[in-house]
Amino acid sequence: MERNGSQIILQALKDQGVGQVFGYPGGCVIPLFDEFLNHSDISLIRVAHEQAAAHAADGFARLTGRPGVVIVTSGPGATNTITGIATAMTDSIPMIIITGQVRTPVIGTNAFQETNVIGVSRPVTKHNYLVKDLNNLPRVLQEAFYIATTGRPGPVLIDLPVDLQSLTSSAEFVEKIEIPGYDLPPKADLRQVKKAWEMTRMASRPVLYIGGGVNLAHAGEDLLRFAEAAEIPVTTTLLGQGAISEDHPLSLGMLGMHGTYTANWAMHRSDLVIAVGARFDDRVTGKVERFAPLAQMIHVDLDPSEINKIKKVHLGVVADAKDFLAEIGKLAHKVDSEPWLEEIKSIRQNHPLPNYDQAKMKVGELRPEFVIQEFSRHLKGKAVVVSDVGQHQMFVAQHFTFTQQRSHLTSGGLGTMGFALPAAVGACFAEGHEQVVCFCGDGGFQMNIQELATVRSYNLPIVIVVLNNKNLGMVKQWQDLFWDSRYASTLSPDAPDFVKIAEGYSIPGSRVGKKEEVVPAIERALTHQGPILIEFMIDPHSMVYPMIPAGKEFKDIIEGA
Amino acid sequence: MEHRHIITLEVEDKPGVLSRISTLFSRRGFNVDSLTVGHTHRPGISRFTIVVQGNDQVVEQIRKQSQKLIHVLTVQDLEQKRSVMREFAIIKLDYNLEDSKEINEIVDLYGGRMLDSGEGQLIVEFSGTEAKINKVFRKLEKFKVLESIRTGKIGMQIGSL
Repeated sequence: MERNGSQIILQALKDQGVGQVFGYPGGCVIPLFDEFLNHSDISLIRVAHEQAAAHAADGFARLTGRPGVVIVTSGPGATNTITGIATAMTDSIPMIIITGQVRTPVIGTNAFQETNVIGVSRPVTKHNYLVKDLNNLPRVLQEAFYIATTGRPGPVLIDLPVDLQSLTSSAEFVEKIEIPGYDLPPKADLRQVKKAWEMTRMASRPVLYIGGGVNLAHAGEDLLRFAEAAEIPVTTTLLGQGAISEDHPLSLGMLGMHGTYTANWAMHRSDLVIAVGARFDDRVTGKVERFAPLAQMIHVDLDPSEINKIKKVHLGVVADAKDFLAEIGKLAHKVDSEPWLEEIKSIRQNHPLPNYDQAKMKVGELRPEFVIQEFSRHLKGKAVVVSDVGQHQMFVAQHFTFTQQRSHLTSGGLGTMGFALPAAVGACFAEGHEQVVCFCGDGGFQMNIQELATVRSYNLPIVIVVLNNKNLGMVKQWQDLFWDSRYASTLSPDAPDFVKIAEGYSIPGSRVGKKEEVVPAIERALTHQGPILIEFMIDPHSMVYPMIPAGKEFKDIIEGA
Repeated sequence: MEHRHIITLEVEDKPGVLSRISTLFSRRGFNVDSLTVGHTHRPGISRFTIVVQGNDQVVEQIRKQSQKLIHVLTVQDLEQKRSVMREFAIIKLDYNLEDSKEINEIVDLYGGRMLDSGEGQLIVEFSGTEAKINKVFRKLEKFKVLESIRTGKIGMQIGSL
């Protein structure tokens, strides 16, 4: 059948079950955007900035596990997506980005709005393609989805010259995708699983260290079965949150720089760490040589290049997290972990997270921890929580109790400020999603504030929470702790009136400055239909504790106020 | 431990494959001593030989990362004791009659070939191990070398993989 390039793309998107694409039009994608008008079963969500299109696709993918799709124009349209693509790459999020390119005959001539997008995007994509022969397009699209979603997921970019979008070809989709150099991870080797279980059985202080890979693999149930069967305490990374419900007795909460005292203590004392789908990020390990210094280490990851990358391990297992956890769960039975669990329990009682209930705050003081705890109490885990980057992100990680897999969407590895609002936009397009709550600081919120326009035009039911401390809190915290409180570029006394800004986009907003107003404002927001913004004027000197400073170890932990 | 590593990769002949591989090596700040690429007997398959100095553990990680590239089929860190390596060099010399005898002796001794002579210039070729090519360059130092080029290493493991 003769089809033009745009029709081939629409067909591929439908074959892959894509319901919506996030995009922004421009000269080199006019034919492709036009084709969307012929299809009522696939929507093109127009955002207000290309970077936001990538974050929106990312938010959708983090929540659903299905790839988000982005279509933007050439040149600046494409380069604007790069931060969003890098964010997805770092956190292994499946994404397809289709960029328009200048006409085939003028590629390489510095034509209007031309960039070498293949070159620019190469280090931040799992793979990318420049399509110069339309006959290859059906196969390239199939390969792109296959590569993006299998193995360790990641973004795949397709650069498509505008002339090919209107040219026709009779090329068909292929029956079988064959990519000789691309191997899928093997099934978990049962001898290795058995060895891992033997090591676990012999250990007296085991800990499961769970990363984003477990959420990506939808392996929460398998994790729970194994952890419960063998009674092993579980700590998660930021991206692993929700893989086990944080109100489960075996959950130690998050580990790492701003992790709980208990989780970091347990890692420090452990004699066996089982790392699954985690990559020993420096924000988790601190000083690597002193990370879990007494422990034998088992590392399970489907990416062989992660094993022994940071920490030499005693047993490396290349396998999908779900597969491994399911297999080891079959072998597991109760081991004598009673003394270990008792010890953890007493540490937990003696070292709780800093807690700010209403009574403890001074008059006029509004603590971000309290605001988040109240959201958590009202939502009872039934929410999609999107957080931006900075202090508020860590407060959310610490004080919101995540009870479901994939319920905390945040930029972990790259730490992209401006992520939350567009990612929340994307999350709203997942079928049957829970209440979306988007937490931002006053800094990051302004990095993609234009997406209030998208929120308005699609009437997306997001509760937008701006925790305004009138400074860039995380950097300021480092300045306070390590730079003699010299606030180079971190104070923002002139931060705008966010309520007025919301009103400018016809989104209702309110400001909360007193602790007594917090609960009524949350209750109002959670019963509101459609988007709503609440700005909380929080204590400008809040610090995130506990903290193990960068490059330090457990003994250097600052427990805080 | 810092060592010299000779890595061979078999790749699909696709656009961008050279750039992807060199990006991986440069990201860790490796100095690539040499990089040689060419076709193999199998259509559509090329082979790289890359020589780098680096920390063993980091090289091992890069080897694994290269294996992840979509168009890379196999990656091997050659065991130097169990492999054959060759380099190739072309050298242009300024010469006069009294030098010619000695130059010819060097060419013969090191199994080189005269590729061109005339207009007071000679072009000679040599192939062999890196040590041999180094020696040839040293021997020719006393003459006036006008231009020279040497390929990087190409290499192959002895026995089956």
